[in-house]
Amino acid sequence: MPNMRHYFHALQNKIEPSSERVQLASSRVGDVREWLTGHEFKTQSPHTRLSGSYSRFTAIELIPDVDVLLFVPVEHLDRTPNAVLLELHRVLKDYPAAQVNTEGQRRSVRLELPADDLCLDIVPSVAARGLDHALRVPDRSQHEWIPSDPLGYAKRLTRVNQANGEKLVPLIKMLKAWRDEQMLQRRPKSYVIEVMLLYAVEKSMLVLCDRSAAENVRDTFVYITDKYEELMDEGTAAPRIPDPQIENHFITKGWQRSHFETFMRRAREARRAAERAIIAEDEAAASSEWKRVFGRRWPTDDEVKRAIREEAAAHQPGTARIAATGRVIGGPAVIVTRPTRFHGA
Amino acid sequence: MTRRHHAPRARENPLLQRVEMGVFFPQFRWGITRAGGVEWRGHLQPTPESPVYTIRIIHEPDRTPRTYVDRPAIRRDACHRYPDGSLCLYWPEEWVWTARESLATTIVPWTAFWLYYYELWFVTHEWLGPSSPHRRGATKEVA
Repeated sequence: MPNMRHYFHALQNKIEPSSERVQLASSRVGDVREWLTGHEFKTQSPHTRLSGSYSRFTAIELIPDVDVLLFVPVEHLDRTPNAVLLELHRVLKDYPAAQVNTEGQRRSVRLELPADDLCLDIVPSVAARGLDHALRVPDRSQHEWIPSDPLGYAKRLTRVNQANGEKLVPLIKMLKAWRDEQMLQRRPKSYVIEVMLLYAVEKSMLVLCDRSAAENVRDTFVYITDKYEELMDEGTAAPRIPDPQIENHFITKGWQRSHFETFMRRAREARRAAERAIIAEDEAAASSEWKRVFGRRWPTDDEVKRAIREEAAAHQPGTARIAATGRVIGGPAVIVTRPTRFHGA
Repeated sequence: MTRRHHAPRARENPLLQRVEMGVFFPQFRWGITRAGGVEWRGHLQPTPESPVYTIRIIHEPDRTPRTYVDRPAIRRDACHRYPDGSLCLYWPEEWVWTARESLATTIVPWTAFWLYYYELWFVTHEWLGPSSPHRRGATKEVA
């Protein structure tokens, strides 16, 4: 099996949101919090908390939107969800260089910052029983405050990621990159992909530890195409995937059958390419197959070399630790090393 | 004329390395060589996707340990090796082996790094680890 570690490392670097973008998103959330404080919109400790893929480190590339939990006093539960969302809308409507939108937002107010090409989805949240329990968030369509546990879900994802060699989050990102590459429209939401993989790993349908990134991606396509094979070939509906944050809700509500069929066709193509890549005779042949899966996001040779140089610079004797197995990368780095300089031609 | 009487220097005992090797790299096994030294054999794998390399370290008394990669075969054009195929893990002008040194904190970790950079060299054709300011064509020292 060709060793594609460097290619996948470069791919992961390539789809990672830029540090400038991360910094921008973070600072804009702080700005909004200050604005609300200055305009007497009453919040409660911890006032704001990032939510969504950005906070769970599963965001890729541009980070077009950031979910922000805005903690409001428990008394708001006596008001209608719409009243609280309208008040938030009213306070934010004068926010400089921004547009406020509530259309299509069930639980949040969307603050669009065109100059930054960024949207903040601000969700009023009540932590009546503290942050370790489900929050209450407004739901316009149900006209009530419903329990939602975004913080618990984030912890769950982190826990599963850590228990699986920190391979789940990178896998989610790579699947999102594949989705973005292969499906411009009719595509599943990022959250659907994230939850689909979380459930698969939790149920041990996908085993990530001690497997290469290439194998994990291949196994994911095998899992997806096998799991939904019957529904695809004999069914008439789209999958229903329960929301891990909100009981009795399904995150696939807007996923239509035709969208699902497109997704499955692309997943089957990706599976075939991934299987060919895994058994390819050399790196070049494997790279060519992976390029079918990840398209223009698949790294060029120069990008691979750059990623290698960066990795090597961060793993030098004297500063990096290694594992007892000799792992310089990917092991429990417990053995302190001493500096050296390799000698000879 | 003053005659100095030096006590004969105690011979290095390679077996003393067993304790630290057992703690840090328990996968290494040892045997006694004909010359009264110790031969270590064990596996190292610098990354999860690397092959498992079989390493052999010959440690004879009062001699610098020599390190070989037995399997899989190392490419003949790989750099930082002595003519006998053993790995050049350090620059002798900068560091020398003494009886007080430890295989487990020097030679073995450096071997893991050597393998790591060797694999990177496959792709980039550059040695990305630290190198001595060695001049090509200069006399090589066999440890």
